[in-house]
Amino acid sequence: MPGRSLVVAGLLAALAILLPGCPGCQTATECGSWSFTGNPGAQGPNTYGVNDGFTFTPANCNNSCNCSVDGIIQMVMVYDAANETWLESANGELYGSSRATADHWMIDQFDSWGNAYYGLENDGVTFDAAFNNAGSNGVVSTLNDLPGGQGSNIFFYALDVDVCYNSKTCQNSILGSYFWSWHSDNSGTVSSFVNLKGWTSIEAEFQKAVTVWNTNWVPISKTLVQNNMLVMSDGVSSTILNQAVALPTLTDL
Amino acid sequence: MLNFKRLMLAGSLLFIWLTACNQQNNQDNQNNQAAQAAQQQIAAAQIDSLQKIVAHTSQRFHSYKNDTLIQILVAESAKQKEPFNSLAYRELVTRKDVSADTLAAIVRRLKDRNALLPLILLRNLNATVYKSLPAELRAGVLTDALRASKMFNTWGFPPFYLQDASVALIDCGRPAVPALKQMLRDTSAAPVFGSKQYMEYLHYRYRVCDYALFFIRKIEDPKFIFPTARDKRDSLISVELK
Repeated sequence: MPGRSLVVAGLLAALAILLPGCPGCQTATECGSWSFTGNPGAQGPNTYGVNDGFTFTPANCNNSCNCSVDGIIQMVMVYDAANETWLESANGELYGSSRATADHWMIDQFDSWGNAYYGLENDGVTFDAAFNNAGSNGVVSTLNDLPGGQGSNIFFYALDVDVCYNSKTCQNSILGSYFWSWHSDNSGTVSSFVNLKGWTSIEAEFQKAVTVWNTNWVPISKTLVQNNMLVMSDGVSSTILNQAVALPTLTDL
Repeated sequence: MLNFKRLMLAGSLLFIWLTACNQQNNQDNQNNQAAQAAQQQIAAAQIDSLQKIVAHTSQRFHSYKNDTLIQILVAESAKQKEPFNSLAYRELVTRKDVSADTLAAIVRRLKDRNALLPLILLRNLNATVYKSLPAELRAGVLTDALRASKMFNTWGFPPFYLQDASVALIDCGRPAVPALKQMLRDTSAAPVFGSKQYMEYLHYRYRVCDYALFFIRKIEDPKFIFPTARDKRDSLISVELK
């Protein structure tokens, strides 16, 4: 069996070498470990349940940072195979794809939640465990998601990026990233696709999504609030914002 | 002496075994990393190829003339495509030479949900011609589209965020209310697709009657605050039904 594994690994490695150029295909910064569970059909056809946990272990990348709060920012891209185009769940008529990069990746957030962190409530302090609890050194931060309803013939891609939210020495550092995906076929039956650690070029795309969030979505959200099209209430905390919250520069630990 | 030799022998064997294990671990790590890199490369290549298909589709629609795009727009209305996911809408909304009169004529001719995308497009391209359409006509298109919706992304998620169709419906004012009142007894699910959006839908479990309630009250009072708790929504619906 190990021999067979080696042969498979060797073939994959050879494939990696033989395939034409992918300069950004090195595993990105990993200062911890990921534990991913994907559940196709979690709530019936066209749904996919996700628990994606990251445990920060700075020694894994020769670091000693003490991060008191880390959380996950999720970026998604949905491909509609039937129409050969991208799919959005909100935004678009007047303001275009207000959160999307040129390649249609966008920070995944409900419009009335002002922070880019998936589970960070509008008070800027509380991480809602229903979506993503706060982690810290050795304490797992788990993102819970349940994408669904997009219909058949969908390819759903996501990158979860764990970032230190509060620390004296490594605040706003990217601690690790994980890529997951699923596909629904003609009948809406969902199957897991590729799930693996993030790589450098997909993290570069994430940085573009952060830029779009800051330069496009933040000012547009302000306009939407002023036009009574958006009430920036997360429905949980009592904080109501006037606009989305810009992200600081995020760098690899 | 014999014990020492045995100890040395055991130590040597242990050293050889540990060295072999270490080499095997290094080999395994290298193989795992190679396999991981290969998978990353395959995923990146697949995404890249999808991006090329998406770009090609956009270019194809960019090459179409307005007449062709408007035909597709009407067909996508019938399929209940959201404006932001309609290929024809995405292209037409960027153009400055789309005939507002043509769009208005389509709305007048169809009068129902099949005219939703032309109506929303007209609203964004030419507010004057849009406003010249009778509010009853606009309300007929919008309420028929709301009633027929299977997914509600076209409308947004009250009270948190509204899409253009919702704002257009509220703008119609009282002419929209009779049709909305008919939906107050419709307790079918009103889901939105998405990632976190879908989770929020599962949390609040809005129904068609909740959307109808929101629009009726918002038309009557722009400052109305929509309650997210189901029992409070039901109480207000009961009041409206009396």
